[in-house]
Amino acid sequence: MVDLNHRLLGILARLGFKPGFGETTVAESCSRYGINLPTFLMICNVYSSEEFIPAEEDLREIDIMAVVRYLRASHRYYVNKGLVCLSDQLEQVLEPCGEKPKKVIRSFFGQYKTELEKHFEYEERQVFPYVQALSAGDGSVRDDLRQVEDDHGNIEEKVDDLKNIILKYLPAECDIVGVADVLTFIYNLAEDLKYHTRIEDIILAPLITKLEEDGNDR
Amino acid sequence: MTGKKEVLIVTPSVLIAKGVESILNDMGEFRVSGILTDLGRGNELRLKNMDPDVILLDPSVLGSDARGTGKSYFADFSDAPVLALVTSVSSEETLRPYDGSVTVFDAPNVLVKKLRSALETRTDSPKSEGGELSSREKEILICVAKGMLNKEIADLYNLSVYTVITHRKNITRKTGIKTVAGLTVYALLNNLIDINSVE
Repeated sequence: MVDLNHRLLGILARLGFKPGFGETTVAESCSRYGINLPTFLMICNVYSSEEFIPAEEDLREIDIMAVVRYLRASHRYYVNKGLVCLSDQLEQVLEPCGEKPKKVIRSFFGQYKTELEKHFEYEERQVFPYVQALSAGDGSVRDDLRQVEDDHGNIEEKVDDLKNIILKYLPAECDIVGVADVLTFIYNLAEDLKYHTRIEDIILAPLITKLEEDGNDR
Repeated sequence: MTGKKEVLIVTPSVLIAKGVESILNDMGEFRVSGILTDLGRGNELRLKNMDPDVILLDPSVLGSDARGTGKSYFADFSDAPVLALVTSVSSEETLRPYDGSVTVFDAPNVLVKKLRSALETRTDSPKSEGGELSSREKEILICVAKGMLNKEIADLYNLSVYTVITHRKNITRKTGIKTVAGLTVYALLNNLIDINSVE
């Protein structure tokens, strides 16, 4: 399965799966690592096709807390690994440049990083606990999640800009091999972030709405 | 030039090609500039010399392995929109790589409408990204990079806010950069502004 789409490897790692699957089935692995099968498959589906939209009846089988666990793990990956790697690669590329471009690009990247981290933090502090409360049947809390969608748009624009700046406007003395590496990395990261966002938008958001409606009915 | 838009038809069926040609002749607006019955080697050269506005391609001309790639076949010759000319039952999958599709069951006015809309979408999207910024665009970019608001920029240059917004859209289209922070980086790297003026 992973062979079909290497992006799925990232998902496995974030869910705490260990290598060496041998002949174990997907279902066996899922139960071993404590994630319910439909949830796992749906996350994989999102990563596999841009057009995937979950059916309503499939959403009913989803363990919302497993989705949240996945998103948290995914955030940790971006903060501890993705952004750190990107920053290192960027430094390498900028090495031969003058002080000014270094300073300018570092500061732009720094802004992007801070924004992303702040957004993650908001989700972890506000959104996820809210989901937890809802799924525990506590209808007394209410939250406005529109902010989250706005943030997603901004974050995508920024990563696009970073890509274009590196692609088009870096000073000539930069290390070209490094530039190619950084760009590949950014493309991958941006794509991964896009799928991550889609999980929030097409799985988490409708589930939250559903839970809220259920809460109102009661 | 008659002012009519030129259509290239690629289909193994002369009957269908002639039919479409006759309909388009009756309707005006479009003119069939060429009919190819296959995409063999000899025709590649002919393709290079034609410059159609729209291409109608019957997916069955392509081998089954290339059916899905239909549109990209023409990328080397022409940037005209490529519509699938559907003569038999086709899966959605097959039609996805095209800019649209017409079927042999479409009424003449539907056919023309579809051709027209394919052309419109194409002209809407800017042909070339990039391109030099005009001097006015540079001035405005500098203001944006310094953190000025649209209203402030409009007042400074005696423009309407609407004009400023149009300039900003063009700047973004040409540079590929959307955010203010990104535009600031662009301005700094291109020495349009001094680093001290943003701090």
